[in-house]
Formats: sequence, structure tokens, C-alpha cells
Amino acid sequence: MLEMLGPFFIGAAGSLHCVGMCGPIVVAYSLQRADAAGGARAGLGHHLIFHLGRLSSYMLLGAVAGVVAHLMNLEAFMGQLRSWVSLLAGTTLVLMGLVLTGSLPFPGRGQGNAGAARWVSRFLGARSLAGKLGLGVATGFLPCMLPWAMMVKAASSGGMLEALAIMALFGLGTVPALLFLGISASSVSSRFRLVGERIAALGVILMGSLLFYKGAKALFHLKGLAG
Amino acid sequence: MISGPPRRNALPQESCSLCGLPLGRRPVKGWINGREMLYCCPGCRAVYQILLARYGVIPEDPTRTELYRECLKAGIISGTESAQDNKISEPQGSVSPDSVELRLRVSGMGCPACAWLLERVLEKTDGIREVKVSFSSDKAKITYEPSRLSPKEIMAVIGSLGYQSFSEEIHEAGQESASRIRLGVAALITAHVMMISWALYVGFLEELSRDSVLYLSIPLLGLSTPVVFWCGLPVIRKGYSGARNLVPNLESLVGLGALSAYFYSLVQFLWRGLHLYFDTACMLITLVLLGRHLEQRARSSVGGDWLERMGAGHGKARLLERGSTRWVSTREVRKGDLVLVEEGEGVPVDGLVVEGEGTLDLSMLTGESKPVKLGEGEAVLAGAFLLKGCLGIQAKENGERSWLSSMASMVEAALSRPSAWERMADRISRWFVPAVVLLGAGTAIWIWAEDGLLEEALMRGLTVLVVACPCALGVATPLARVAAVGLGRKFGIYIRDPEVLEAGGKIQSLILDKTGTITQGVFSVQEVICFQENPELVLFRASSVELSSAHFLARKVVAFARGLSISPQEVKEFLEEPGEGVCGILEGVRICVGNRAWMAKWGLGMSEEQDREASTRESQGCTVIFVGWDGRVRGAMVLGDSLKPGALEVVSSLKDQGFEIWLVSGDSPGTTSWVARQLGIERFLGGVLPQEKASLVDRLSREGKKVCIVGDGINDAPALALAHLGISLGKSLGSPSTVASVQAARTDPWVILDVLEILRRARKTVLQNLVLSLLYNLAAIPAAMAGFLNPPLAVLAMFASSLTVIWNSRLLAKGTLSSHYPARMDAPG
Repeated sequence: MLEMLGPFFIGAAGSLHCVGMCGPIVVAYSLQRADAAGGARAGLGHHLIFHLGRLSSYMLLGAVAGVVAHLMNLEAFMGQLRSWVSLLAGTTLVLMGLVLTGSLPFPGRGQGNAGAARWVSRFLGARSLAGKLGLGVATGFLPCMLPWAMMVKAASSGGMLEALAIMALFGLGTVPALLFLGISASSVSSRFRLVGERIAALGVILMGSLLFYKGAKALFHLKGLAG
Repeated sequence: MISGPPRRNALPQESCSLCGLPLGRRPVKGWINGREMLYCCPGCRAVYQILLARYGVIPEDPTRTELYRECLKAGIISGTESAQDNKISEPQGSVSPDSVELRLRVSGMGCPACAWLLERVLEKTDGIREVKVSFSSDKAKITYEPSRLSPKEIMAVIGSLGYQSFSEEIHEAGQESASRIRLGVAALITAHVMMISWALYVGFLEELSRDSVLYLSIPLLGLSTPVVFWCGLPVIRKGYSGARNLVPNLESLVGLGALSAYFYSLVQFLWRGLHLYFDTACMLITLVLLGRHLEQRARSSVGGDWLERMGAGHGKARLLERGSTRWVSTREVRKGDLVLVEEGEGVPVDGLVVEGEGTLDLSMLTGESKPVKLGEGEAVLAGAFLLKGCLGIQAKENGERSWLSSMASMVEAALSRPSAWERMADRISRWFVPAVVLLGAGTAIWIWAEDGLLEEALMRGLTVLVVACPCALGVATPLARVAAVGLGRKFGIYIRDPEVLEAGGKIQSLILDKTGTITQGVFSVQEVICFQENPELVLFRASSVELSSAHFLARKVVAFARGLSISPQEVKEFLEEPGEGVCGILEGVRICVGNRAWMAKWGLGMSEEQDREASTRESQGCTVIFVGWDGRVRGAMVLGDSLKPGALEVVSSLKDQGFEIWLVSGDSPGTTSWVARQLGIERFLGGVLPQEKASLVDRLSREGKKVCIVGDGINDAPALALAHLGISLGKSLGSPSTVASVQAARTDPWVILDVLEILRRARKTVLQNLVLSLLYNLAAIPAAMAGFLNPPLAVLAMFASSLTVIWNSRLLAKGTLSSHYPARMDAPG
């Protein structure tokens, strides 16, 4: 149970970062609604649908991770692989956390997901509820370190259900900040946002360390048994 | 969000172009229209590009989009923009998307040259469009481009010059105590340094061994180093920034003095010399800190904090919505909103009382300390204080646009606009400093060449430098102005144009507008004339007929009757002929009320005597309404405007003071002449148009007279603008755009005397201040050159002169008016 709270917490803290990155998207579509409806800001429904879309893409990613996890679980001979997966995932998470804190450079050339970006810009113009759903789904695929880290965590969780739950909880954690922003003009200082991002990064690192520790312990234990 | 083009100055970009968070080790790069942008992560870049694509041609100037403005408002603005970090509330009302106004309070300004320096440096800073720094109000108004600069950076620039800046809402308590700590430490250590130094001086007399002197100089160095470089840091920084920008100030001179004394002593110390001036260095720093501290305190006692309190719209209001209340910032209150005010609270907005009644203290607005009772349907202004009761108020204006806050910004603008004298004083002080530096250097070189005493030459030069600082000259005029404006405010008088402080004392001609200034400006029943008839019956019958009429005179008659506890009754067969009169049947009698023609029409006879009596009243500017029944005119009601209480006393007092008084009015010459005769005014003009009032002002000023005109500000605008001194009476709600140089919240005629007295005294104070400060400098420079002073004494003398000027201004600010104002307010009526 406690393990499930981790993703939610990381999502909540990390969403302060989302305010900076995805916030403008929310503001953009709110504005557009305002034009259409003559003054009123985008209704709650539109925001909920947008977030539903975003959540569903996280869930989709979670499902993919879950399938991987499930496959690995099936193929796990003697549980050895699981420990290695844990070690690998833990290391990856720690590295990702370090990237999030800015201590490590972003890996690769950082081209990101051009397809998702194209979607987002197409749906940004849509006025319908369905358009908001699309926008949410596309936003979910934007290149962002946090969901990726959560995917790693999900994939290492070893179960389809757990993987889904991890992604869903992470997604839920990110909703409040953005929803608040969308409904009323909030003011979140950049220092506050930075603190949120740092906390999320630390959370990811902690999560990775725990995974690593568990993997190492299991491996050691197994080895010990074998020996 | 979109921070737009990277800053034009070569500073490396430090934060993400989108979200504004710090960039990592290897930021993600993106190219937008050939310009390199940096992001913290690929996600931010993707969103940035999406938004660019969506909103078309943004790249040239992303700050011009509505999206940008919305994001600015929502607080997700990028760049190092961290408005919330500094608790600077959202950009104020007049945001054009690409520039934002920032208001700061700046502390540490010692004289107007500091304000000038800040303005010059800030203007040169990239991204700042307009800067207005006011020495008098310690405020800075900066228009900047949020895409290129953040408030924090602006405050950093101010800080680098040695001043502290705060957001308007925050009090500088913390900063103040920090500077007090520096002062305390400096004073403590300096006391010890002085003790040791004294021992050394005495030791010279008692033939102290060379070794023991050298031994004693070690703690001297150790003690004075922190004084000069830690306690003196603000002094040195401010002095350096002033000198570098060619606006040397007191700190430049004293800092130079302290540093040269310190380093000279250091060299002596290292070469095992015996001529140490560490004590001088410490004394200089301590005295400057002490002087500035005292000055700041004295200055705030001159200006007080009324400007802060006046700037309404900072407080909170209890908004009544769907039966429940919630606290909102006053700025959020919109026109038409209902606001609840409870006992012991201030009224947050201008509006109408729609519920309840209460006793209010209006002294913030009018200076009148006598509480006023208000009830439903009456207007209240923000700034009033509810002493008793509970009021529901419907806002007549948006929260930030109250009469008081418009007055506050007006006064603030007046305070920051230098007057002619001040500009002169500024010019003098700017030339003074280089001249003094030359003088000091000259003195030093002369002494050195003549006597060959380097130390003596150095000290003499320093003393001249310090004593000649024209600080008191710089503050002489602005402080007197702050004091005068503050004094006026205490009496409900708002001085908008600082020029009048100089012109106001020399007024010769006084033009009074009749309606609203000398007379009430309200039509009411003045008299009921009866021709062999019971006046109560006449009034009862007349008011009963008038009851059914909507004519404004009819309503005055009804109100007058009710005021005498006569209750009119409905009449039958009511008939009304516009422009002539009304009639109706009451108790079987046909009663007619109207003018002469109406009486004739109904065959009601009027005797010659009656006609004559009515004509006399009419020639005095009154309107006469006749009442008649049963074939005869029975009586008449005289309606007119009445003199304000006190008008007679004020006019005679003005005459005693030797003013040439004119009475002008748009009303008929007859009315005007009658009022003029009542007041004993010989010069009057009736039936004048607004332009004619202006041409009268013009004519008088062509004759070489300084002209003052007093009016209600509505149809006197051209004349008010043209006169040397224009006084506008009353709170013209919703249109504070008056052109008068003085706006009074009061309408009683005594306000004229008050304004004239304030201006006279302000002029006197300014002149005293200028003379005092110049005398100080002129007397002190020769004394310093001749060697009668040493540097610490010079610093003392310097601050003594500033403090004299400040205290003289304080006398004005804290004074009351000699025209026994409180006695008048308590007088009946």
C-alpha cells in the first residue's frame, strides 16, 4: 500500500513542474473556450475530460509496462531475473532522478516525441469535449522525465495490475495542481515549483534506491541460498 | 510562460524558456527562427514549439499575445520572473502585454541626488522603459518588459547601488533593524578604538615607549577593520556607486575620507610609523551611520506614513454574496458589489449605504474629527472609519478607483514632480560637489606644499570634503513640500501641484465663485410671505397641491413643509401647466400655486404692495411662487440659495488680509450683486460664462497680479487651470480629473483661509530651509579650510545642518493652523 502512495506523492510534487510546462496548454485551451463562450473560462467538464485523457494515456503506458512486467514475471527462471530487473530499474530510476535534479544532462539528443507534439498542436484548436480528450491523451505522451520514471517503476513492479495502478496513481497526483490552475488563476511561484520538482526528483531517487536495495538483497539472498 | 527572446545583454540564459526553472547541466537546445533557446527538458521545448505553432507568428515578440498575459496573471510566467517570490502582487491594472509597471519603496535615499542616480542607472538597464524615482515619497515607479527583466533583477540593480528596495506592501522592518545592528556594532567598536587612541595620545605626552605604541596599534587595526569594511559597507557601496555614476554624494565623500584615513594608517602601521588615524576612520563611518539613521527617523516623522495609509485598495473588504460574506482584496471589489462594514472597520470602497446606519469618522478624508451619522441612501467614501453601527454598502466604483486613492496618487505625483526651486537646488548641488572636491584637493595640496605636513594636508582636505556636502540643501525644498502636503491633508486639503507652494504665498487677487463656494448651491425655501393669512395654512395648502407635482421646486416646498411638521394631503382635480403652475381642490376650495401669469389666469388678484414685495425678492436672485384661493393671492414662498455659514467672516478676514476680492457667478447680475453687497465685496461679475471667468483670470494676471480662484471645479475648469492657484471645493465623485492645483475635501468657506495659510507657511519654511542649509555650508567651508574642524567634527556639522532643516520642516508638518480651526469645527452649524 505504502509503495502505491509513492507514485501519487511523486505525481503531486512533480505536478508543480507540470504547472510550468503543461500549464500554458491548459491556459491556452481555457482562453479559447473563453473566446467561444463569451467571457466564461473553460468549464469544469472540459478540464476533467482533459485530465481523463491524460490519465488514460498514462494508463496505456502503464499497461505496456505491465505487459512487460508480466512477461518478465512469467519468464522469471528461479526469480533471478527479477532481482536483476530490480537492480537495473533501481539504477535507472536513480539516474533519472539525478537528471530531474539537473545534476545529469538529459540523455540522448532529446528529440522527444515529435508525434505527440504534433497531436497536441492539432487538438489545441479543437473546441469540443472529444477534442479535449484527444488533447489530454496527446499531452500524456509529451516527453517528460516523470512519467518515464514511473513507467520504469511500473515495469519493475512485476504485475499487470500493479503497473496500471502505479501509473494511474501517478497521473491522479498530477491532476490537482493543473486543475486548480485551469479553474482559477492560481499563483505558484517559481521557487515553489522548483521545490516541488526537487521533491519529486528526490522521490524518484529514493524509489530507485529502494528498488536497487531490494534487488540487491534478493540477489544476495538467492546467491546465499545457492551457496 | 514564454519568456521570449533571450536577453539582449550578453548574460547567459539561466532558466528554461518555458517554465522558468533553472536549466540543468546540459540544457536542451532549440532553434526558433534562428535564435537559440534553452529549455530544462525536451518536454518544455515541445510545449514551447506547440504553442508557437498554434499562436502563429509569436517568435518576433511572444509577449504580445493574450496567452502570455494570461500566464502572467496565473503566475506561471517564465524567465526568472518570480513575481511571487518577492511578494509583488500581480502586475497592476494598466498592463499592456509587453510592459509591466512595478512600484517599489526605496530606502536609503539621503537626498534628491540619490533619486537622480537611481533613475539614471535604471534607465540604462536593458529592459526598463521608464523610471520615476521620488525622493520625497521614497518610491520608485518602474515600467519594464517582463520578458527581459524580472522585478528581482531590478531590485538587485537597486541593491548594487547601495539602496534597499521593497515591494510596496512590505514594510522594511527587517532591513531597518539590519542597519541598526551595523550602527550598534560600529558605535561599540568605535568607543573602544577611541579609548585606545586616547591612551596613545596621552601616551605621547608621557613618553610612552615606541614599542608599547606599536603594540597598542595592533588591536586598533583589528578593531577598525570590521568597522570600516563591514559596518561601513553600505556607506562605501553607496558612495562608490554615486561616484562612478558622477553623482558623488555624502557617502562618496565620507567613504573616501574613511578609506583614505584607514589606508594611510595601514601603511603607517606596516612601516612601523606612529601616525595612526584609525580612530578617524571609525568615527566617520559611525557618524555617517548614526546621521543617516537619525535623518531617516526625522524624515519619516515629517512625511509620516499618511501616504501609505491613503493608498487605499491595499486592504480587504468583506464581500456580501448570496447571503454569505467572504473577505476579498479591496482591488477585487467591482462596481455594484455589496460590501459589509462592521463596527471598528474602515470603509473599503466608495459607495452608497443600502442598509443600516452608523457613526463614521471622516477625518482621513476631510480632516474633520467630529463623527458624522450616516444612514440609508447616503454616500460614503473609502477611508471613512465606522465608529459605531453596521453598514451595507453598494460599491459605486471598482475597489481600486476610490476617491481617496485617486487623491493619493495625485498627491504622490505632486510630491515626485520637482518644483522650480528644487530643480535649482539640485543643479547647485550637482555643481557643488565637484567644486568642493577641487577645493578640498586644493587645500590639501596647498598645506602640503606650504608646510610639508602630509597628514595635516590630508585631514584638512578631508574635512573640507565632508563639511561641504550639500545634503541639507538637497533636502531643503522637498522636505518642506512633503511637510506642507501632509499638513494640508490633515485638514482635508490635497495639494496637487507643488508649484503653488511657491506661488501660493504671493497671491494678491482672489476670485470667488458664488455658487457652491460662498452660497450653499442648493435651492430651498427661504421665506414664506403671507398676506393677512395664517402662514401655516398657506404652507399647508400650497404643499398639498405641490404634493402631486414632480417639479423640483414643488418638491422643495413639500420638503420644507414636512420639515415644519406640516403633512400635506392629496388634492382632487389636480392640474399642472408646465412653466406656469398647478392647482387642485382641497376641502372644497380650489387652490392655485404658480407664477404671476398663473395667478392672472385663474383670476386671483394681487395688490401692488404684494407685487412690489415679490419683485424685491426676485431682484435678489430668488424665485417666488404665489399661492392663492377664493379670488385672491394669499401668500408667496421665496425659494433661493443661501449663504454658507461663515462666508461673511471668511470674506471679511480675507479683506483684512488685503486681498483684492472678486465675486463671479453664472447667475444673473442682480443675484450676484445682492450677494456681493451682503458680503461687502465691491468687485463682482454676474452672468459670466466659464470662458469669461478664465478671461478675468487672464486679465488680472496680465496686470501682474498673482491670482487665486476658488470654485467647485465643475464649470470653473478653464479658470482654475489658468490661475496661479486654483482651489476646488468638495469631493467631485467619480471625476477627480479636476485641473485645480489644490483640491479640498471640505466645502466650508474657511478652507480658503486654511489653504492660503498653509501655502504661506510652506513658502516660509522653504526659504528658511534654503537659507539655513546654505549658511551652514558657506560658514563651514572656510572654517574647514582654515583648519578649525577635523573630519569627525565636519561629519557632525553636516548632519547637524541636515537635522536642522528636517526639524524645521517637521515644525510645519506637525503644526496646526493658526486660524483656530478646531474651534470652528465645534461651533454650532
